[in-house]
Amino acid sequence: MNYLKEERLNALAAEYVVGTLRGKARTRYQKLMMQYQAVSDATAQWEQYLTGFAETLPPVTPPDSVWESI
Amino acid sequence: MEHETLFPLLCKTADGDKKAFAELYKITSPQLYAVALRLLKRPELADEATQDAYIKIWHNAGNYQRGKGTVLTWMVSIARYRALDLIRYHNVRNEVELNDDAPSGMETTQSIKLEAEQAKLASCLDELDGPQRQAIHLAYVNGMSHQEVVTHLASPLGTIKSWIRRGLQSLQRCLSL
Repeated sequence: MNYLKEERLNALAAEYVVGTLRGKARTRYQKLMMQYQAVSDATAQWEQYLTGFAETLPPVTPPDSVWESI
Repeated sequence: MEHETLFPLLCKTADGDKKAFAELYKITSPQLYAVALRLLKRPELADEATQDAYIKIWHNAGNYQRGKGTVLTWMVSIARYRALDLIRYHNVRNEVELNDDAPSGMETTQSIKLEAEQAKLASCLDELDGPQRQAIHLAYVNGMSHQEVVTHLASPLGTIKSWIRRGLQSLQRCLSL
């Protein structure tokens, strides 16, 4: 399967995690993640690579209503 | 904090311990909310994304796999994907102020300290060329599409795509050294 070639998979996983993979391509990718361990592994790897961008944002406490509705 | 605190709390959450879940929420929600708010801009949507994310975390706590990444990364990712869905669903437009761009360096937050792994990540991010880091930052943190990054940075689509692609490749190379 073409999608699973390592380099292509790596590039797709990166774009999925960055958020630039959109529309049908994104939906297709999500299905592949459910089907193939290699796809979900590549995704997790990129989440770990890029998380520094998210985890260094200054924290913002959500309003109490958020917890109440959970 | 990750290993001592978050992982045990997540394990208890997986067992249905509501008190542990509340504690997990208390510690991590300011970070998840900051991510959602930055992506969605509108507080009511950030509220919705954060709620949805924690409901998913409650139900899926047992699916977390430690070998694949930290608890916080797992949780932040859930919030990000939910926020990205909402961006598309509500057609949130991205018009970021020009001075709200990529930070010059990575700042540490008060509540969640960077661990060694993340310090390496920060230094690799700092090594990227300015435009590459900025393009990735606008897409990842602000939720911009390729087209929105094109408008924001006033560069052609091909250039933007290549900055993002090459920036990601460099980042991966640096991190796997």
